[in-house]
Amino acid sequence: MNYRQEVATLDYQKTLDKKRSKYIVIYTTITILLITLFLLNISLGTISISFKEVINILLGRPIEDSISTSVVREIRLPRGIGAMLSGAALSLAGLLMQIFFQNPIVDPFVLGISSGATLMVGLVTLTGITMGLPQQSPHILVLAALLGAIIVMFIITGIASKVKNIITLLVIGLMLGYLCSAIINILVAFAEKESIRNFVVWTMGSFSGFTWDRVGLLAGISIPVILSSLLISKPLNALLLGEEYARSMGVKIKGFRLSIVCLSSILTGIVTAFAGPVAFVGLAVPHLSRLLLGTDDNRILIPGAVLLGATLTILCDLLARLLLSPVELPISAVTSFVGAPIVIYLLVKRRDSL
Amino acid sequence: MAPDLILLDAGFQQIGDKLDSLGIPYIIDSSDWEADPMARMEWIKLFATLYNKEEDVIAYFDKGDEKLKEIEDRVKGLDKPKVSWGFLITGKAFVPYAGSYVGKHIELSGGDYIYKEIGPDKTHTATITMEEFYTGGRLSDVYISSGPPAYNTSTQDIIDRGLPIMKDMKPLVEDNTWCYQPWYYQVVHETPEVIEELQAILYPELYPDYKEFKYYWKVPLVE
Repeated sequence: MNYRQEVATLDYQKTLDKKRSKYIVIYTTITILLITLFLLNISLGTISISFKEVINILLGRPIEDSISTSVVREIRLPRGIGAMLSGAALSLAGLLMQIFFQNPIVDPFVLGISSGATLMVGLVTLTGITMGLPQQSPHILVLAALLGAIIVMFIITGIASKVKNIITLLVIGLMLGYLCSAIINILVAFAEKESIRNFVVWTMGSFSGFTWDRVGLLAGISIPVILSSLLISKPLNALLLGEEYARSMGVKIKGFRLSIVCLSSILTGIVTAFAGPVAFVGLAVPHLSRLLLGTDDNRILIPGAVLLGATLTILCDLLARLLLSPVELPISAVTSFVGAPIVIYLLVKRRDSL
Repeated sequence: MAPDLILLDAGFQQIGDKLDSLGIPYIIDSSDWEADPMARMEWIKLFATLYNKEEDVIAYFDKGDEKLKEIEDRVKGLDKPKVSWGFLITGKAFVPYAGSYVGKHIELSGGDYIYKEIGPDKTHTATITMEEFYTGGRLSDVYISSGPPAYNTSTQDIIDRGLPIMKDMKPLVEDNTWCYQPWYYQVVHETPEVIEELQAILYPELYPDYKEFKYYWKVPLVE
């Protein structure tokens, strides 16, 4: 190695070290922010509980006021964890879809997963179809949403294994969404006022229905899927340079496409089942991550999007609960209000294209 | 079909423009937005004019007005039972604003509405946090779930619609949870009787012989 090559290698190493330090600083900052927001989320609410009391409750120490313990343990904690996991899952699902379609304006709902869930919930609430459960069972909405998401997921994966052009798949996903919306509109036209109320409430999305059982199920499904996504970050990077390039790198495109669709659909489906459709997070957080981290490397982006998604969502949930407390705002309205200005600001400031 | 007149719910006012263009006369029924229960009931006077029954209805209304005053006087000076009221859908809590006709029903029947701080100048319903709903409602004496029996098959059903923590809410533990009969919204003309029945729920000692509940339905306790 000559002198010039040595200098170039050293420069490259320095650049790498600099970038690595930058990523570590950003990850650490987001993590601290996430922990702070999580603690705020479980400390603030309608009833006043001091931060010291919250810490004692978290550590399992007995405190005088048993109602505070119940509120923190049974309402705020499952809701906070549910919001974090949902945000992480939706952000990752959005990132996967944007890579898959090589299109920055797609979100996790582009394949019609949320529309399928909404259609099934609409069928149950607007027509009274109960799938064998007692009529108006409180669990029926979750089951219906999950079933709707799974049905659409199977349709999409079936189509994805046959269709070569990803744009065709994108259009099919959009068409499925329109089809579901059309059926829902017809159902609404003939539904009773009370049923429409129940349906509309579900479509507004909320993390307020999270119980420990549901958090357990969400964690049991989403965490392994998130970890699996980390394992495919390298082939995802190859896919960024086109399918031909990825194929030349040894990626089995057909199977890989299917696995991306499956991972994204599972994440979207499980969150929609428990929290209803939550807008904006899946679209905006991947962009925020790219802009903050300044890279398209999915090994860096995936953990970034997961952390940032959890952070932004828990912030939005906190605002939804507190802004007009005790009245609660719809979560999708807050995610859009908070997320959109941040993305616009960062885009204008950085003058980067997506 | 060539209707002489269409009665239009206030929630569908936009249809009015179409009816205007078609030259079909219509009346917008905003009775649901009335904050005062008797103002809500007073809409029967308008409907009576359509059937030339104004005089009968005016007499009927005045009698109801007097009855309501008697009901109100019956519990003056007594300790007010605490009342929580609302409806739960997948962990979301909807409660009537304190200024709504429901808030007035509670007040007139002698109850102390737990959520009286929420929207005293507003009608209709607020979406509140489960935390607010639970912390307020856990110590109430009576809980009225504002839906029909199909949505309130048991106290467990109500808990499942809300959160498991609600299992220790006093009215759910002490078997004092009620909901609407399916025809609840069709008896606005019997407003004083509805309020009287609510009073019978809140003050059972004043109504020892009141057994046949016509407007409210007791939600079965499931332990």
